[in-house]
Amino acid sequence: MKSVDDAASIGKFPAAVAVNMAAVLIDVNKTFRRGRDEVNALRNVSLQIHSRSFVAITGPSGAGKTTLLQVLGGIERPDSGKVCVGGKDIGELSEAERTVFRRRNLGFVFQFFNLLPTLTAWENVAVPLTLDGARRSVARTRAKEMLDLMGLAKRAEHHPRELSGGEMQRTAIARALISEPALILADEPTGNLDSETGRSVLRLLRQVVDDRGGTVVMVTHSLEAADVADRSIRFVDGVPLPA
Amino acid sequence: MILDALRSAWRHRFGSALGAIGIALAVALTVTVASLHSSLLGSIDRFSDQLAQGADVEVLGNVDGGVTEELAREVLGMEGVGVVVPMLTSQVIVDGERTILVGVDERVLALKGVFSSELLVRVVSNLEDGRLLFGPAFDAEMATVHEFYTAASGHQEISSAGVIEVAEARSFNGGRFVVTNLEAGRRLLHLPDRADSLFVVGDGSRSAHALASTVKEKLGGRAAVAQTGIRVDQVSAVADPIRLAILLAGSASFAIAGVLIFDAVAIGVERRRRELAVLRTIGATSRQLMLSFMLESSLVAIFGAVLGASAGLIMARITVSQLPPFLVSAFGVEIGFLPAWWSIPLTSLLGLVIAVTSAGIAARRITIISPAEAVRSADVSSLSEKQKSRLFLGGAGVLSLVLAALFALFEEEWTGVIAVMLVIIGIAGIASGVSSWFVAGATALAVRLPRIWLVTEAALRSSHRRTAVCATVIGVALTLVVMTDGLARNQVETMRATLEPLTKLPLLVDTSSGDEAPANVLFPDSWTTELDELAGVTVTGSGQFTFVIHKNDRVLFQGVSGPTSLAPVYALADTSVRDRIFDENAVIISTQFADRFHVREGSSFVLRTPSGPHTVEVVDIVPSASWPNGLVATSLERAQSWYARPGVSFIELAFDGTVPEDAAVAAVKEFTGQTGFPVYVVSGALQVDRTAAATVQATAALRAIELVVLIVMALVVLNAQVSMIWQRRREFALLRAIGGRPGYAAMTVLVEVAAVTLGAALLGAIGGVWAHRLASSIAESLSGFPVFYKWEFAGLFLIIPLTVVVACAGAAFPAYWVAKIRGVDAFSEE
Repeated sequence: MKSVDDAASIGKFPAAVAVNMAAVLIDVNKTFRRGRDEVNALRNVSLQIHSRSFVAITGPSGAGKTTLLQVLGGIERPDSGKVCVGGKDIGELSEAERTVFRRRNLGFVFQFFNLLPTLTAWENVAVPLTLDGARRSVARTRAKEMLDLMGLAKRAEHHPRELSGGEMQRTAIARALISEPALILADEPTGNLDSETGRSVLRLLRQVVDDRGGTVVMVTHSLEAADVADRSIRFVDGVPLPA
Repeated sequence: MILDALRSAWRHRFGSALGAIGIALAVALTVTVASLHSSLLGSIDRFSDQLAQGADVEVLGNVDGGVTEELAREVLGMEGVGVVVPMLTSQVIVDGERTILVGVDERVLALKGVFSSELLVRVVSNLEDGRLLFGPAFDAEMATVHEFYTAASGHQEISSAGVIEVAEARSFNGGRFVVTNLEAGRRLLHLPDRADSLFVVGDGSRSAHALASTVKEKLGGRAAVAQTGIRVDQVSAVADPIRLAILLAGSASFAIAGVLIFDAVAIGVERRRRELAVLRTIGATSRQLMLSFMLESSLVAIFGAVLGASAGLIMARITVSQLPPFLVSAFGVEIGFLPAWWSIPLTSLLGLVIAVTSAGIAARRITIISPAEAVRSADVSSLSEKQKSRLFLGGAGVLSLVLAALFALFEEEWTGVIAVMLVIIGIAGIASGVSSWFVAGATALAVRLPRIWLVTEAALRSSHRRTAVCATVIGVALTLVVMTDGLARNQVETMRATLEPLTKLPLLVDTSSGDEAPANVLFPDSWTTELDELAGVTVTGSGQFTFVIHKNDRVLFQGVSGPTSLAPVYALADTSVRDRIFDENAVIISTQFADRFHVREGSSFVLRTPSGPHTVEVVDIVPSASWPNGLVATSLERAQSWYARPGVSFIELAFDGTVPEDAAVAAVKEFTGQTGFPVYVVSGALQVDRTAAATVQATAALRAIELVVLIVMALVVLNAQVSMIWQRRREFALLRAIGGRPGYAAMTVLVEVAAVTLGAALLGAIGGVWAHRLASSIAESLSGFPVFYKWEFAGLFLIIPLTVVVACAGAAFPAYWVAKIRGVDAFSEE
């Protein structure tokens, strides 16, 4: 309960408060059009996510969990409201600025790993660095160090098709961490793994918060996964409910 | 079911559009060529038909000067001959434009042509001299005086006795003709006793073929004899090779259209894999699903065929109106637009068959889709593509090149064609075989690119199949383009080379504008004396061109006045022997004539002329691009007397320095202007430039082939890249999600295409240079014109960058599309 508060409890979020938060959302709304219907994915969502915390977002399908992650990641713009990440109002950033912001400040972990099949494990991990202009030698050294931390040193030269599900997800986590982002956004990171492998991935994410001082926001259906978090927020019909 | 297929085609409209464009291009090209061919032959055929429908045999003079009435009487006396109809169909100049003078008498009523009307015969029989019936193209007021010229008659004034307004008359030479009675026509032309053609109607005792044989045998070569349609045969001899060359390109377009449809369906199957798996799960058979793809492709093909046929007809219409003047002027018949309607259903059906077959082959992949895939989650590893060894393809390519070299040794036309095909196949094989080297090369290049090196590397590593496809198509395209470009440039240079002596000529008075075949119109001989007397100029030579019939082929005949002439064929001949043409029965011939009639230097052959047969000795053989069937040159004196054609086609002038050159030219123009003849007064160099420009126009067919090849190449690149992006869309979405700029992904597409294009283009250029060498002799046989092979380096400089640009243009849309992929897509399963 220490890291997530209802936004209303601290009033209108002075900037000074927002700076101390990993992320803050104020009155965020997001509506999608599906055919002729409008779907309110997020309705007046106000949240604050403290730095160095592990937050689980739970809820049924279509509750707006993934949309929340996309809005936090600057991938989707909210229709209204403010989204501050690391003290920066990302709603005020241009598309190009948000792209660079994501590259340097955010890490993503996906349910289906999203590894580039033609690249080896270390090359997959190195992608965010190369997008920022890193030289090959620097990128390789840093990527291999990161894989070593994930216990995948011996798999560095392997392609995704040669890795197990758990190894692929750990490689994806290494990729998410390589830019040392303040905030990790994980979308069902255990959804495609068996329970034992899933648990090891959750332990890894927990270590990111405890040992590396990172902040993790994880969308999950799994109650077991939510238990690993410091705080769970349940979403129903685009509205966060206190757990 | 059709509605479903239409809906599906619309849903996958990009792939549908590619397939439709492929079919449309192929259909358009074929319909254009077929319609162009039918317009050429049809116009000539219609001309013959309108003149002499009902005739069994046509007797033409061995020269455009025609035949005599005596010959007509002789033919009438032959067995099996019922009626002989002599007719004048001479080219004359009326009001400065080429017009046909038709002369008929009552014998024409034995035929069923436009002029076989009792009323018309009655009217023209009573015409006064100088009054003619005019064709509907003339706005002929009775009171208007019209200018009439021929070489023999010089300038005369004529007037209209009325305009023939019947509908058929409009289609006879576009309505541009004048009609009079045979005798009046002869007086007008100053050619007593002459007719251009004798149309023979049999008495029914034998077939037309047997009748033609009888007449031919009895005349013994004093005139050309054939069943009616001889003109069509002559045009076919010129037009068929062009048709063959372009139909080959049309066939290639159909093959490429098949590839495009195959690709579109293959991508469609891949895109709809999950959907197809679901359908399989709920009971759809592979056959049903395959049929749905084939139906969709057939609808696309029908759409493409309709589009292509319409475009083809429009293109043919434009092409007919823009035909090279030399082709039109050579036959003296207005070429109208006569669409080859038969080609539309035929090519559409062919397109449909190709589309359905290609779709069927591509849709066979459906049989390997398991219903289990419907419940399986996306597996990234399945997208990874293992590099397959294609070295055997490279080996086959090398073998093809070796075989090409062997076939080229035989120097026969058919072995040459096989050699060129083998070079193309060889380049395709090698390009496909070494495509992994292009990937390696491109990867080596990619690692030097800031920021996107790893992304580009990732793209390239997944690219073996599409690189092989792109490299093969680009390699083959370059081979074709370099080859055709070399041929086109060589043709222009050849024309320049054969006319080179003219560039030294200060001033030329000519009946032809340089972009036309030598005209039948001749200037009076007296002009040479009169021009020589003008201040500031001296006549250095003159000569005559005429078309003569040699062994039923239309051959160009040149008469040259004397040793100081710069007339191209004479001036190019060996100086030690060429002057023999002035002293004895000797001729200089072009290489075309030598090849066509199997004549060698030092040998003799017989020329059938109105004055009887003349045995001539060949003193030299000169490469000349004057006329596809060849050219024979002798002295002007012999040309005039043998063919009974006084006058000259061109007069060569030099400045003597007594007056300024401008004043001398003005004096010459003033003199020719007064005569009323259509005369061209130009420097020799300008005349050569005009001819070269006309040759450039004639090479338009080759340029059109290049354009089609480049468009198809761009389409294949586009298709391959779109396919790649579809397969890798989640990767690109991921890159966007984790902070890759849109431009990074777009750049990977362009880098890959540029690198592969450059590699394949270099390979294709090597193949093209070789194919160009091999194709030179084939082009000579196909076009009828000599092509002097010369290595064309300048073209390569232009073509390789152009190909890279065109290929990158083909990749522009995929690059744009990939830049539009959003990070959100990385979160979805599909």
